[in-house]
Amino acid sequence: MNSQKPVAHVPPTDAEPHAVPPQSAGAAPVSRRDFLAATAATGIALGAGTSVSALAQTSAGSTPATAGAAQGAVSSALPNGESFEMYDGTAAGAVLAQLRAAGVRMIFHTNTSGFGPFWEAIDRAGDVQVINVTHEGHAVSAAQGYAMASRSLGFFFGSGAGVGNSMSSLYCAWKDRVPMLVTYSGGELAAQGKDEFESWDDQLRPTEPFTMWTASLLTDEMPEIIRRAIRFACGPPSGPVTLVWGNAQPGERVRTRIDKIDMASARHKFRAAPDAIQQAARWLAEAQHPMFVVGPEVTEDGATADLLALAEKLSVPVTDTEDDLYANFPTDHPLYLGQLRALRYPRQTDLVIGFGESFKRRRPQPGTPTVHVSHDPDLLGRVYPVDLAIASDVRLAIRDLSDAIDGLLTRDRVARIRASRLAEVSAVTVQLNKSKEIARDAFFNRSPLSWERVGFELDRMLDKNAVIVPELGTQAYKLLNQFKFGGDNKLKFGRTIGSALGWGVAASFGVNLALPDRQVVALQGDGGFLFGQSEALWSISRYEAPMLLVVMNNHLYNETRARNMNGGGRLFEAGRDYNGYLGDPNVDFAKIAEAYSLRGEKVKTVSELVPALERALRSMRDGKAVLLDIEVEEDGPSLTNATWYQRHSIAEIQRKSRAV
Amino acid sequence: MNARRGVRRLIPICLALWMMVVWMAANVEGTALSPRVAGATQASPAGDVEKGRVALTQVCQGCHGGGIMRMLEVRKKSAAEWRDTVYRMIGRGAQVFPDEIEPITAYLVATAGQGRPPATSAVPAAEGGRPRSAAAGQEPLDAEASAILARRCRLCHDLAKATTKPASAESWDAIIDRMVILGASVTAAEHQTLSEYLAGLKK
Repeated sequence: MNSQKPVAHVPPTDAEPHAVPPQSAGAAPVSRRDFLAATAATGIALGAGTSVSALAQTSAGSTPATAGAAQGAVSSALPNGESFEMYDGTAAGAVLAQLRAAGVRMIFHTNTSGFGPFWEAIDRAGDVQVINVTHEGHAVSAAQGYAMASRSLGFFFGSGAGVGNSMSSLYCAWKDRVPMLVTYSGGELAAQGKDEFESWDDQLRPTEPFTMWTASLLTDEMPEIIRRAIRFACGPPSGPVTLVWGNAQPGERVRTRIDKIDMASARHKFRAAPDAIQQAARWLAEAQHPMFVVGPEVTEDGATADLLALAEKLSVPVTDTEDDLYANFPTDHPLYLGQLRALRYPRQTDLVIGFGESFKRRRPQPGTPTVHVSHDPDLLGRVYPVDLAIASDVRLAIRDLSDAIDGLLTRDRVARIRASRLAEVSAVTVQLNKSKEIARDAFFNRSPLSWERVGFELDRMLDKNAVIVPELGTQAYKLLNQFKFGGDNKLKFGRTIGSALGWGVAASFGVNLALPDRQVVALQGDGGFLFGQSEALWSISRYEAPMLLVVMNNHLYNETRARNMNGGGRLFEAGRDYNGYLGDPNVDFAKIAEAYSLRGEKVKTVSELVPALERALRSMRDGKAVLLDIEVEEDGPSLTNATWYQRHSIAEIQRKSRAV
Repeated sequence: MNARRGVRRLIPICLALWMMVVWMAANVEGTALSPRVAGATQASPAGDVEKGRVALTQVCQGCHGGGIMRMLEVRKKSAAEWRDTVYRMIGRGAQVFPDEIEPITAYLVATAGQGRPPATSAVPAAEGGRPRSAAAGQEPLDAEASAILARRCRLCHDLAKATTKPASAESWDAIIDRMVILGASVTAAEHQTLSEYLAGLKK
């Protein structure tokens, strides 16, 4: 008997109460506008930041019918009692069964022993792909990239001794709010205080700052703990959960319940209070110079198309910040203004609406009326005192706001605002794009290559829907601003908001696993690549990910040098940069790729770039990844001795010792 | 016929003048001349420099804040190098309009061109005035306040005007508070030094 098969369907007598109140069951479909009008008429008035309408809430475990209710399409169908199955098999098999019930088919692993029953379950299931990665940190980043691009759950299992190795990647996943389960062997309570082999007390405590929950898997509650972990991971706010296996007996037989989990609706969705939406709509209708600031939650909530539609409805210019983890708005759109820094338009913004942006890195000018929409109530007004905080799924908030605008302004009025403002914004963006072209052309034929030229050629030669995974310092925007992202253009994942170097190569591999039909390009600096990333090439080679890896090589931690030296001082005068120069040894990154059976090529001059890219694209089509090591210009303060570093030679010490 | 001969005589003179301009520009800048660069090597009208200052204030401070004045003190560059810097900043996303590229370059050359003295000494003294507490032994306050003015205020403000504005220490406190709200980076100690210094100037 196959112990992985469910043995019985049990009626859902112990099913959790669902979140839709009785009055919604059996009701006719309600449009969003009707919903707004009806709820407004009830006089529901909730304070800013607590504006969660109970009527519209759904739970993570809700059925598609209840999830639909949050979006205005209330179904009359009761749950059909097929939301779970019974499982009879090993405890480790129960973990896998619960993961499979959540749609997980790809899991990430770094070598360790002690997972025998889990391997057995994987082998029996036959439909779960294990991706081996040679370092816990890379494995967690690959799982993150996979989760971001597939919009599913990332899952990792590995050694408890590797908790430390994975910490940097956990931190990045937490900063990026990516739902993941990261599990480790060990963590036995029985080992407390004994300082046993590969053991320390409270094994998951180091991960607590970067996790939504930490817990122990228990033999009789494996699926329940996994279900709960998924609940915590999805939030909102979402992020990694860490678990230890050491307190369970994975090989023991259990009979337990496995719940179906629809990851597409696993994140709680809730809707803003109608009066808050009405208030925001009134302000938006009255504002002469409104602006949208958009952040990662726009993509996380699948709101990019709705955002575009709302921005276009009233020709509201759109900006983002350095925390642009995703391409939330088409960067070639006439309404896209670039990053919220020193914006030239509008000079006197009279309303900012932040959609899913935390305002951690940039904030509007002090005194500018601000509406903050976030699906994470914890973020609302956290770093910037806003005038109206709206807790809501971002897509639902945008749709409600759009409907509310329709209720406030006539079509003619909307059309007039749209036309006049579009002309104004377009005039600005056309001029700014012209400047960008002038600046790019100024360096177009220089060697070492300019970042702008490399970006221009990549954008031109890659598929329109290619996926870019950048991990670069402050030079990055010279490259990235040449790309057309968002909308029907290229996708972008990263740079991780965590900024901890060592993330990008593995994360881009995870992205390629999730999007196997797309060209995936990892953009690295030489400094970032040297943060121990070369081992991720092993997995790229093993699983034949036909990616392009670009190393922008200027033999320098350019951002660090600029930050250290821009203000001058004695070290600047003397040309003594203690941590910037990387050119000694002069690493041949192409040869590193070749060591992993990938193609590698160096590009030293401007005339070599396009032919090298053509060869790379051919190789990718043939199924083999390519690493291009491109010599690019350095930028920033020119030091009198640019290649200086503090020398130290053990060999010289030995020579002197021998001479004595 | 005479007019045509006159024009013919002028051609070599114009050619020589043009070559002289090119030679001077090439020697001053030490770079190959493109039409864009050639235009910028000629003396920039004061209006261009002022336009460049205003644009720089609007564009660059968003990221560099008050630190930009310190950068201009230590980084002396030729016009071609400053123009490259402007291009690079545009590449990074600085919102410079096409007709501002040359004025910003002109301002940077005027402020931090090669051979310019350090800018910290460029704070104008209040005409005929002395700090209230500028009796013997109080010069350090002058120097410190002047440095703060140069570092924090000069990019946006005409300091000659600021140092002749009659206001009490309380009024200067309020003015500086307003500047901080608008984005000026001034520490509490600098704030106190500035308000005492500015209020003490004889105006």
